Amino acid sequence: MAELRPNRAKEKLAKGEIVTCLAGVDTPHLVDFVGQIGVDSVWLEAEHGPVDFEAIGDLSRAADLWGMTPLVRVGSIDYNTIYRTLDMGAMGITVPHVDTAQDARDIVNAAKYAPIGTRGMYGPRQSFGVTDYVKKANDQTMVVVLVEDIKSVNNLDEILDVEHVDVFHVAPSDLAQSMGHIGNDEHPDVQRAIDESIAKIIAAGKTAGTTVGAHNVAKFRDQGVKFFYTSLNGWIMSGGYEFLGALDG
Amino acid sequence: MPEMRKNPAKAILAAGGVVTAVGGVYTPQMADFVGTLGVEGVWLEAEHGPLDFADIEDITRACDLWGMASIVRVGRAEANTIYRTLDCGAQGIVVPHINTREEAELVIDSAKYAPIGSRGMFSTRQGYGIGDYLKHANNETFVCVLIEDIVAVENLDDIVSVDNIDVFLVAPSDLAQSMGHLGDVEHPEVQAVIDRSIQRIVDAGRIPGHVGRTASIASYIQKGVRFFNANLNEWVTNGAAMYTDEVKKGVSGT
Repeated sequence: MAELRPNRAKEKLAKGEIVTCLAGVDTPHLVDFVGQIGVDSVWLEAEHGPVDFEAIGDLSRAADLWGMTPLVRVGSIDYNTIYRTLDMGAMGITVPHVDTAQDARDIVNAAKYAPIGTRGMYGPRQSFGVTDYVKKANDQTMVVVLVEDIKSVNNLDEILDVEHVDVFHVAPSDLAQSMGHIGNDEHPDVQRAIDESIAKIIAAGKTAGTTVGAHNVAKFRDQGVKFFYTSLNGWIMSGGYEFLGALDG
Repeated sequence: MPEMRKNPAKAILAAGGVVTAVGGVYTPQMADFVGTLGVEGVWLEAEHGPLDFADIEDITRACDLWGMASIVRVGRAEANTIYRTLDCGAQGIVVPHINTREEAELVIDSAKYAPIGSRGMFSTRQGYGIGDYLKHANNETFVCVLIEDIVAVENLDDIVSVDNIDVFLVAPSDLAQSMGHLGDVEHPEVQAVIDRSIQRIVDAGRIPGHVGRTASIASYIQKGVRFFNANLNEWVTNGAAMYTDEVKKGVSGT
């Protein structure tokens, strides 16, 4: 019998360590390749991207090979969507547009078995060969909620009261849109809302996440953010510009 | 830097053990589930079955997760087919219809890097993150050739003299066809050739392979066979028979 696979991201957060999460790796080949780089988790995109339920098995197996935590961003706060995503092999979900405490409670209910929630019963991929899986699964399953609407920012105190959410992730682009500053994440009002939300999350004793690139990751690290989403596209572009610059130089 | 993934089939054979590679596994999900059964390897079918190059990565990753050897039967002894199969992530190959020493040598030349062979250079899936992959790849690459034509039996002394072949698998169905006994692997002449070939491989100090059937596997282990191609369909059939027997018992009240 096999042991339940550890969730590296969840374990590191529990120890107060920083977790990196790489998006833009929506094929198994890419997930396998980036495994050698040493990121802690991969962000598989099903809110905006191509990750269908059928793809989750192969993608999450590639992540498991390297001990990276496979996280899937689902499209909506939907009971079945959340536990089916986990059943296919994701070790965690990230959920967009969580605007109220009730939204957050619905997510936890769908993602966790009793006594915490009512996740539907099945033989999930991560349970293969694991005895007593349903008794251990809640400890492996990671929940990330996205704070990305001004409504969510305004309700943040009550959202932070919901237990069993691992990361409260402040996402800038939709937040800027909801504040009337579409496409202008750098607007001072938006930046202030982000900074204040992060401070509030940390002050509540919870884990803050945000979306970063190489240009601003140190700033947010210094603010106490522990969960960092970044995109492979940014790495490809900087590598591509470096190459073309070397050619010109 | 991680170390190169070990090939369990190679390690077990080197330690004198018996390896089963189960065929009839056609999807990554099935390979992942079969991992729970404790079988040493999976036999993936690209000579007769649906396995395309694009399928190899996902299904071999599922095998890697459980430490099962991923072994692909390719369609022919052809250099690019062999090393592309390995480059996509297979830990080993099985090559059908090896009838001469030259064919066996071509298989090794295609599957092994220098100084043993001349496998084409590429950054292979099993090499991701491995600093000295090229130094370890040959040791972790499993090679099995199929003895399945009467001409291969005639040339067996030559074939078993080729180095770096892990297993010489005597395959009954094609052998029977080549002997004029199509569909009759139980024919005494066919069975005699199988047994004599297994013995010749053992006598040469090499490892014989055979098909692994529940009813006969113990006797072939006694004959020295240490690598078996089992079939998931037989396991499913046997499991279903046990189940339906229990249904009948329940209905009849016995």
